[in-house]
Amino acid sequence: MRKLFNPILNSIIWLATRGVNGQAGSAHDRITIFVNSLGLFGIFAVFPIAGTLLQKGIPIENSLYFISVLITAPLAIFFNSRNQHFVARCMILFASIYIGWGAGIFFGKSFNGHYIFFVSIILSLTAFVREHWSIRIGTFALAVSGLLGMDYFYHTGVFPITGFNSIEFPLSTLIFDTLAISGFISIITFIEKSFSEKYEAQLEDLNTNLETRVRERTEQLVKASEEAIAANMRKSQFVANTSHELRTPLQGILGFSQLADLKLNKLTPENFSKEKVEKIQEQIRRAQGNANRLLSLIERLLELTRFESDEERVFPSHFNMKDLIKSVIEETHGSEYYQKQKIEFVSQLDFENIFSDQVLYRQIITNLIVNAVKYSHEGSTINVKLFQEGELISCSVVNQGFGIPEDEVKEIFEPFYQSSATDRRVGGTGLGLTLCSKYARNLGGSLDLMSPDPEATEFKVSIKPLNKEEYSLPKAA
Amino acid sequence: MPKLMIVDDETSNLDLFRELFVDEEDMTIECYASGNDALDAFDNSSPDVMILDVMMPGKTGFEVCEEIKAKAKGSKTKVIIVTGMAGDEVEQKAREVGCDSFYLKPVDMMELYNEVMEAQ
Repeated sequence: MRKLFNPILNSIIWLATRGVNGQAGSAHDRITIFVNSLGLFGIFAVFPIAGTLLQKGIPIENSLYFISVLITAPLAIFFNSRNQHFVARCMILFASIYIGWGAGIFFGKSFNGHYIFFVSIILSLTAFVREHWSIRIGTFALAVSGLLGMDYFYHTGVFPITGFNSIEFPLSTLIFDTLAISGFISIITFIEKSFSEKYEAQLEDLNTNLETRVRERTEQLVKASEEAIAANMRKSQFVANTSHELRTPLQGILGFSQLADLKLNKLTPENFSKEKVEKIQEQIRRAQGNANRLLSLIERLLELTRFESDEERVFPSHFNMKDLIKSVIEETHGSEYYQKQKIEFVSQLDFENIFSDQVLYRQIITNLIVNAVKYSHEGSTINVKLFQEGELISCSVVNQGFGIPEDEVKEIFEPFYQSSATDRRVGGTGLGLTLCSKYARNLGGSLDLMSPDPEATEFKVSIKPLNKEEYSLPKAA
Repeated sequence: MPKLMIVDDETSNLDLFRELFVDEEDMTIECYASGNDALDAFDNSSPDVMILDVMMPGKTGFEVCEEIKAKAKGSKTKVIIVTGMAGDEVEQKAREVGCDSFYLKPVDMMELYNEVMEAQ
């Protein structure tokens, strides 16, 4: 029995699901299955009814309605499988009308009321397979109210649209009410469909938007976590570097003082000599030198962290920029170590006095000039130029020298960074540029590397003259 | 007396370590401020013991140690790594490249002295 039943059931399921090609479970799928099921029902229902009709001896022309069902029901399935769902649903409605009509004749009553209610039920069911509640309720209300109204006019005997009296013109009523009802149903189906299409389009939009937003958010998250990792790595790198930088002068302090101690222990009145004492003194001096280096490193580190937490430590006053730069150059040149280069200074400013923090500005200029000296060839010229750029006052320092390798350009402002273009013998803490770039920002400007070209490395510091009004009053605590 | 080679980019450290042995009269001491220089000189001088820094411009101390240990002469050289880089992974890396001793700066001068003198 099952062997016979299963293939039939499978074919029915096959027929009922023809035309289903969307995503499983969508509103579209359910409508397709619903329409196909009704079409199948139409086909199967016709035979028992037709048999009964023939048995009762009712004339064949009245049975034509049933034969029409036999045509419209397969058509519904056919159109559905071609994805022409709107036509398919119209076919189902026509089939329903014919069934109602035939039923009226069969039962020998006025059929109008019966088939109208039948159509109303079909439409309501169609409405209810829709996904969205507003569409379901809207379509249901339209179907019920429209058809109930029509039914009322039918029972008064006057056709609502053509105005024909159904008693006087039975044939015209037959034709025109069929047309009118078809039109009415088409309109309702159309409204319902356009609603659902709008809704589906919105849903699709929402889906696409959601996808885009999810992608954007994921990208943001990835970026944020990468940044956090990078920041964390920078921090650990900073701590590792700090440890390394602090241990180096400590080695000098401990080492040289230990050496001095050893030498002193070996010293006896017999082997005493001036040279030996001088040697010990030198070792103590070197230990002190390293201690001073350690101290300045600690001070700079403190300064770095202080400026990270307090951005507004600026104490401005009036000063002459040209004189300040000149005195920095003189100081630098005064040092024995720095006499191998020529420094040329030009000022293109119309004015020389400025209101800003001269201590910070001096530190920046000193750092740039000392760096330029350290990193340039013997006998080359360093060019210092003071000029105006809009509301900023800039000072550029250009030196001919080692240049900065391209892959290091990004890092030169990082703490403890020292260019690999030179060896570490140039000295320094590796914090100078980091600090100076902070100072320049505090003075309303910036410190930039303009050209890392090996021929001419150019650093430029720009500051904005501060507003005197803001600083003339003591700030409220 | 062992032949000593000192490699450190801090000239202050070169001076310091050299001074530790300066009283040993027949001891040869060579100082280099970069790993590359030390490697270039290695075959000629073939030292018995080497005090080696890690963080240097050019080749790091790890790379220098690895290259030296790969040489026929170098396998006999005692390599003492002295670095300011702290951390377990630094020491582990030092062992991996085949160094004989590892010291974190600041190193005790007497300890370093004995370590060098033991190599013969």
